[in-house]
Amino acid sequence: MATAPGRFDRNYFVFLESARRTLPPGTRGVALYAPGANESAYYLAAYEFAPLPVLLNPPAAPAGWISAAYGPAPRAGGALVRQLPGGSLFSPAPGRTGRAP
Amino acid sequence: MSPLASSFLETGIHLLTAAAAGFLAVRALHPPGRGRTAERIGWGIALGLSAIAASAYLATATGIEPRFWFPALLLAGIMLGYFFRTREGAPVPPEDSPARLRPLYALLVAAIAAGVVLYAARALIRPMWSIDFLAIWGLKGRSIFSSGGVPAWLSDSRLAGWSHPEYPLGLPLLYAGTAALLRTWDDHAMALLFPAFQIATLAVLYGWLRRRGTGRGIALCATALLALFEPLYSGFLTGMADVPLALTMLLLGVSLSDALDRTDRRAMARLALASVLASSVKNEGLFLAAVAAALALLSRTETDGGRRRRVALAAILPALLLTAATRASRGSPPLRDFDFGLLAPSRLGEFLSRAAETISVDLNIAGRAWIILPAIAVLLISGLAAPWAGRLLWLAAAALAVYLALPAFAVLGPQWLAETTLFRTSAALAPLAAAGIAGRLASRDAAAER
Repeated sequence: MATAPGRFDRNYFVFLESARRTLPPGTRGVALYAPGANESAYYLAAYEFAPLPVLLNPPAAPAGWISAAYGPAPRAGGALVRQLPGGSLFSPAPGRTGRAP
Repeated sequence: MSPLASSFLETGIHLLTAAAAGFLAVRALHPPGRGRTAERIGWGIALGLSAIAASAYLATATGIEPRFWFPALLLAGIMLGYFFRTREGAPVPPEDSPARLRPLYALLVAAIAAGVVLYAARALIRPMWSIDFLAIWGLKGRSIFSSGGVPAWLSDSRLAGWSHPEYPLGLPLLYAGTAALLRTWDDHAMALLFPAFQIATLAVLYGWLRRRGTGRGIALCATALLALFEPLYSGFLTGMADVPLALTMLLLGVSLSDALDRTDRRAMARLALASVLASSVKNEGLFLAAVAAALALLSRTETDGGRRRRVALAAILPALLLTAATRASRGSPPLRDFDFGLLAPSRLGEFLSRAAETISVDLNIAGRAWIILPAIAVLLISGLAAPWAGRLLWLAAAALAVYLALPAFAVLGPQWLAETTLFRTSAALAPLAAAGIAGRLASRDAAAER
């Protein structure tokens, strides 16, 4: 997928694939923090994390979800779960969990 | 053997098994015999792929794996084909292969083969990658495969409105079923489904034209042109619903024509099956089934009003039932891309402005097809009216009219919808158009011979 010309940057694809393979068991959804990500990048993330729902840059991750940050971690990130190539996985910050839409 | 080659091989074996079983099951729909093989191959592929999708559906409904349902369905299909086989049907016109034309026929067969090989290359060179595959068809297929059901969030317009919860699940179920047979989600090997769709379409087109009396040359020409029609058989559309929809719309059209002309007793069953297949792929399938029903009711060649109504029911009822069952289980998400409130009298001015913009955008896009459109016009004029072929052209024209008009209601504006969809959705009408035009040309030939 990453080799499709002009589609996505390879590092982003590697990050998503790494995150998908290392999601903690029981994860109910993924809050993706990727500043500047366009619709296509969002759809690729949703496809990669299927069957889990994905929200792009939500103000807060719903309970039971995990945060995947591409690039620098968001300031309000919770505990680091795993460092990944190009980003990291965080548990939602205490007091910062929202409701699933 | 590399993992990729191994995955392709395994996918190919599953698809061939499904198609072979479908070919045997088709005995219940088509009589055997010389001259009917191509059409039976096309229907057989369609039935085989439907069995894969149905196995995934049954798995979501029962919790029993698709790997159990798949052989069970194939076996059931083969038994149906055996016990309900039909031998009745109009004789196929004899072969017409004058020696002087044989090199031309060989050239056309080579062109068809080249079209298949070229599309296979475009489809298989990399994993399915188009945005609509990622956001809609692949996402849903992967979700069904990975979770063993249809996750509820896929019907939640707030979480997945962009993936069109209102679309039918036929293609995602086919992906999920294929992945279940492979025991893994392989979006590269599964692209093999698309050359299979193309081969089925070409086989039905050629076989039907020949069965309805079209000369070998015209039938081969139409099939070769379709095989080489890159706007439909492109790498971009591989993974999306347009290629399978093109096949199911053709099945619907040829079955409608057969049923109205009473070519054989199983024509009505084929029409009902095609109605289900078309409406399981995209919402347009339901619309086309409704148009087919209207054409049946308005038919002037069928004088028996009761028969016209039965054909109309066979065209629309299966599609309606499938759509109702889908809505009952998944709800009725809104058509979020469209704002039909524009039809309200208070918004007449806005609607007229959008209609004008839509006409302008449509003309602009049609201008890009400046080579194709005059050629189609010349071919249409060159032929003679033939109801058996004209019905397919009416189906294509009705769908085209909707595709041209819908941008006026697009929430993001006519320009956006027309630019992103008009070319590819219109391209999916090519098999219907090819069959209809070839039929008209065949009628001219027949008239000249008389």
